[in-house]
Amino acid sequence: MTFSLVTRTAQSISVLHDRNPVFVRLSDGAIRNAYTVRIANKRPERREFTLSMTGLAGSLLDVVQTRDDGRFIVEVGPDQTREVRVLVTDYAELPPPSTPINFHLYDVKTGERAAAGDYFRAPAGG
Amino acid sequence: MPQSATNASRAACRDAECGLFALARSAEVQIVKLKTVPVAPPLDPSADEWADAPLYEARRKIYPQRVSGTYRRIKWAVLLVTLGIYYLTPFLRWDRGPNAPGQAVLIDLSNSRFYFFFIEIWPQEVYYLTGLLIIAAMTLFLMNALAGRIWCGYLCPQTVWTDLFQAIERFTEGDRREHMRREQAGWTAKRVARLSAKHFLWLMVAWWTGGAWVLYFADAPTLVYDLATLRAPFVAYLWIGILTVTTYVLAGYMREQVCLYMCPWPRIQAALTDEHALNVTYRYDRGEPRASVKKSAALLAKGLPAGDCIDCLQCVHVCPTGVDIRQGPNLGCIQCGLCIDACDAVMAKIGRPSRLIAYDTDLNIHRREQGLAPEYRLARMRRRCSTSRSSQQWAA
Repeated sequence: MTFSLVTRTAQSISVLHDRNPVFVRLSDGAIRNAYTVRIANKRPERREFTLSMTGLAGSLLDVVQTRDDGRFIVEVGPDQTREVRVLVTDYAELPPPSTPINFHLYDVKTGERAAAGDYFRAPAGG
Repeated sequence: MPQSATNASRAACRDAECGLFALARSAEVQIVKLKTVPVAPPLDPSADEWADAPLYEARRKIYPQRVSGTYRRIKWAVLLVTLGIYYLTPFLRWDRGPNAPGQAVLIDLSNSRFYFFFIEIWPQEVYYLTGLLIIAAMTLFLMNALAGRIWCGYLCPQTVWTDLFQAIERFTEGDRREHMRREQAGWTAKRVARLSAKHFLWLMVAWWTGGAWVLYFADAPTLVYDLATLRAPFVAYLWIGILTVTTYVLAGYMREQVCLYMCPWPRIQAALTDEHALNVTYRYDRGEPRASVKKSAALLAKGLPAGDCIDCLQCVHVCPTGVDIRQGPNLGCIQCGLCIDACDAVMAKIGRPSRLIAYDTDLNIHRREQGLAPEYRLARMRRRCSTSRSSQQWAA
């Protein structure tokens, strides 16, 4: 217990996949999934994190209402959590019905990290 | 017996007698006329008299006599440390920078954070509390395996506050004898003053107990100021009121009834103990048969057995729960060890070895009776057969 207390991290990320619908097909044929991502900053000072996603080649990440200067910067206040909406769009011709993906959180200054896994859903049989 | 030895023992008895009467005078103890103590009938739940016995007994008023000794000193030290921690912790400061509260121990309900010095716990990390509770439970069980009701006798809040309330009672109304005499004498202006002082001090302690509680939930100095200027939230006053009343009633009036009828731990404790757990025990192998100093000398002179217990009842008079430890294991006994102190003081005065009442086991009494050396096993595996063995002992 002491070990887990000493080695616990000062940030965390959790992902909630949108339902109804779990995916939408855009007018250009691409498949889009939406997620609600909650970022917790357990330090008593304001911190900046970058949010990124891996596991889906040829896809586009969009984090709603955040600064986008080549990477998505999310500011979280001291000892607070912040929820952001994340849109993932896949331009692949025939994406599989379910692809595991990972969301990554990096502290811009210290490089401390946190990650959470979820799935990218697409219609069965394209 | 050779003549010189008899003379020597007579001389020792005379000295011891002087010691006893000095003690009796100083403590104003009424020497109870020695009588053979009847052995309690074996418990038979099927018998009608037991089946019809009431399950609740109204509180008998207890006048615990002042006592000094090793265990009393331990109890004072524990009382000071535990109450000190409880009353003063909210005022400890801890600098966490500009964005966090500066109170060392704070339960911040509105922001759902718990601060403990350098540790900050979020609601989703509340499992640390679960872990602490498991460790606390295990500590309680281990204490019990080592020396019985250490928790009940020294550390339990009910015991600590009752101890403090009883000290206040002795301070205002006098020690056991004076208290009883004053109560019998009826109402006088002085007695009203004494009672008022007692209840005022009790209420002050109870109020501060409730007051300290709410300080853990908000910035303590600010809340103290707000409370004093009547600007604090109603819920703070409500909780202070609730805890003032519970402390006043539980420590002032209900006392050992709380242990007997409200608390589950004595029941659990009784199921956890085993024959090697050290418990406050009257060593009846040494104490019985009881006889006054004079009578035991006469018995010994005739070559008849006489125990070390002189039946002075000091162990009963100092007991905060009104138990007679000499009757064996008792649900009412919180094992605070004050009877050990009382008995040791008497034994020192009559020149007999101390620890006639001591932390010991029933098993060792049996071993000594059989001429074997006592056996102390602090670390031991719990054996399943031990329960059946001790129940056989009880049945025998």
